[in-house]
Amino acid sequence: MSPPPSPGLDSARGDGSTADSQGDAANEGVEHAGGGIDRTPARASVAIATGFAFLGALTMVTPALVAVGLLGTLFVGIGAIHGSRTYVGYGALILLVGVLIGGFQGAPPEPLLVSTLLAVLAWDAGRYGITIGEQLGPDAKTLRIELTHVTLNTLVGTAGTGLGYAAYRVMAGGQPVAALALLLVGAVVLTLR
Amino acid sequence: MTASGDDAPDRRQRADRGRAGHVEAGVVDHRTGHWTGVGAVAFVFGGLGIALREPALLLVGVVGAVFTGYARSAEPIPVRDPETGEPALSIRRRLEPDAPEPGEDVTVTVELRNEGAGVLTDVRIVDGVPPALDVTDGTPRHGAVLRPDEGVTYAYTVTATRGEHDWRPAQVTAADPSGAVERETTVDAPTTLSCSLPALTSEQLPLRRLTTPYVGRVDTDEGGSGVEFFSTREYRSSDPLSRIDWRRHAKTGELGTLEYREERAATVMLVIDTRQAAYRAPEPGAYHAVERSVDAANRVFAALLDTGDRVGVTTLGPASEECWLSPGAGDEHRAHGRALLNSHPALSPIPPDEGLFETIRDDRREQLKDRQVTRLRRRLSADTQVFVFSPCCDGYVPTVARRLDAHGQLVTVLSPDPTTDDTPIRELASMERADRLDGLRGEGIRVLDWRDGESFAAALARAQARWSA
Amino acid sequence: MNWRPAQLGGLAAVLTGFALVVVDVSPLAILGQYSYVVVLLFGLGVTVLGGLELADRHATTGEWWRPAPTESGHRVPVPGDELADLPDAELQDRLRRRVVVSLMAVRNCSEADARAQIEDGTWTDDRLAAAYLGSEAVRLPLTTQLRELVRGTSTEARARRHTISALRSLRAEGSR
Repeated sequence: MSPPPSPGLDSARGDGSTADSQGDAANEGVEHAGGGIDRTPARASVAIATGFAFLGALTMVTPALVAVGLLGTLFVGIGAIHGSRTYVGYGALILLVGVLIGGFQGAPPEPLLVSTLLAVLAWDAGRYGITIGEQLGPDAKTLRIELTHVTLNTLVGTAGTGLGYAAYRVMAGGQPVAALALLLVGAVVLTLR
Repeated sequence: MTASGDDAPDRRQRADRGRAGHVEAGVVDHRTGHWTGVGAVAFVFGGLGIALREPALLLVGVVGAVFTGYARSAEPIPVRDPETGEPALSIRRRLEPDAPEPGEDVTVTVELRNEGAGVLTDVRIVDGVPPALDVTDGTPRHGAVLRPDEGVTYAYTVTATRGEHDWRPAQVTAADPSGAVERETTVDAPTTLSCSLPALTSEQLPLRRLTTPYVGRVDTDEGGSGVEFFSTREYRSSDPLSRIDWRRHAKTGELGTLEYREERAATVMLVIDTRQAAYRAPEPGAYHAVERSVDAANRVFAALLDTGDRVGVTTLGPASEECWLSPGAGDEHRAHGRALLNSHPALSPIPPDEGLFETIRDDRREQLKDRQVTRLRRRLSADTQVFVFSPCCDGYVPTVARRLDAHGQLVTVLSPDPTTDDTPIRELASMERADRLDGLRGEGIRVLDWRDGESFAAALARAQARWSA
Repeated sequence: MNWRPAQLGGLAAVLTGFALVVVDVSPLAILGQYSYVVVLLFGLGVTVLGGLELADRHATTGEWWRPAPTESGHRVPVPGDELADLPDAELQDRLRRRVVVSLMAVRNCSEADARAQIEDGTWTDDRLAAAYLGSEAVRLPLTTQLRELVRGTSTEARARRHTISALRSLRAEGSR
């Protein structure tokens, strides 16, 4: 995999290529000039993830749930900054639990939909920032790809959710629950591998 | 490489093979699992919505279903044109300057272009910097969104070191918009950086003589271009008429004889420290002391030849790499010396794997080091002046300098300073080195302390001012 | 296209769903009084599936592109890094040696005199530095003793920093 050593300088010292031996190790992140490994997540995604989570918290249906949502935002923020996908997941989970409780309490679907969408987008942005940080490091100019990723996913999520919501409204009376249930489960199972 | 008609089943085969990327003609697919878990949202909310007859919760499940479907249907981005098999991405690199001197910063500008017909929403590139070069500014990593025929440019800086450096293929990944699949490939553009020691013109060389002239009385019949006036003494009847100081006679009527001393060409040996302990730099990736020593040796070599001295080069390091150029003069010798400094394996920019005699027992190690110095001394003639190039980060070279000095050789130590004071312990090492050099000065050995960031010419001027004071 | 049972089931579910929307017949009415139970079980079943998938997430790890690092050339050590591994006592000895040399150069005292100054900590005003290199008799400053007591942390690093600082000022005396 390494190029043949250039004659003269390298041959007497053997393969002094230290970069090679480190390069094949497991996800090393970026080798920093200071000698350490720099895996800091990309900055824009940290802000976007935390921002989405925060909005998701704000759209919770009761103040108590807003507090729960803010706790979730905290986890998402910490996870995004420190590069922990687990913490980002916990944060999203907390937000979704808030949505769930809101649903139990009989909230209307609109705020629940918005909160869920924001929670999922926050989770996505947070994880994406971590991936980009591991692969490209914080010094690389990655704002464009991060914004593109988030924008496209937001559009897809909004469009899909919007369609579902529209279908829900259209099917007023009749069999919304049963039909929707089957459509939902079916669609998911259909795309299972 | 597959044609377009075969793509669909191939991808499904890859999908069926599971998570470990499929390797095919330099392309690797990664199923990132970026969206794993979203399906659970759909199920949990949907299920609870059904069980509890809360339509709102059921609707929330739709969010999960949308993203699950989106993620599951993600396909790897084509990085090769389906019809022609041509890579969809190309790079071009520009090196500025493309033939630098060692230690010079080179700006590498990379242009990444989408040659294909599709939009690439998430392209990530890591350029293949040659293993011997260190990136000192910017980063070879970049992310881009590229429409068809759109290119993006970014730049980073490397510090040049001697040799021919070839760029390796850039590692590139294109991810699909959802982020669920990454397709990895390489993109190449042959790029080489050639860096060698400069041939120095006389304007670039120090003006003052570096060597101590050999002073000797000249026979009254001798003369020549290297002769300079020394003094006048009283006239003796045996003195030739050509040596009479006529000016004095014209002024005072007295007769006196001029005496001259001849500046003989000196014989100089440049000794470069190439032990593992000499490979030190103020930062892990910076231009290290051995490179600076070679740079200084190149300048001193040229300067000494210009003032008519005879110069040779040798190294102080692992015995396995003998480097010896006997002192000489002339254009051929000059070229030979520069080629040796440029590419002799003993002067490699890559440090040796072990310290000097490291594998040998302690007591025997001292013996071998002694023997090495003795061998060096024996090969030098008594009037050879020695210039030692070493960072002096340990006591070995000062000891060698003292031994040579004790045997009557004129020794000058030129020491590039790789120390830094950014942590207390490093500052201690810096102090120890400064004291070592002071110790040498105290014993009458000339020392040049070449600080980091300073030009060699400035350091030399500073030192020469002190030497002649 | 190869269809697996789950996917067939999913397809069937979707088609049934569409059919229900079109035909507008409630399956719940058909089930009669068992409808509630059926719906509940169905819902819980689906929820459990979701829970299983969440749990399964930990078993299936994603796999990302891992670019090999290319930024570093041949790394060489920084002078002083080899000292970091030295045991504390040795490091102290080297510091003492440096202080002795500096005292002899700057204050023109003899080696014995210099060693004595280190012993009783009179070579510097910095009490932490004095205590670090001095004999047991030289007391640590009170604040440091308190800090050690409260935090239980070692003062090695701080002491070293102070010592180097004091050494630096000492050597600077000579150049004035």
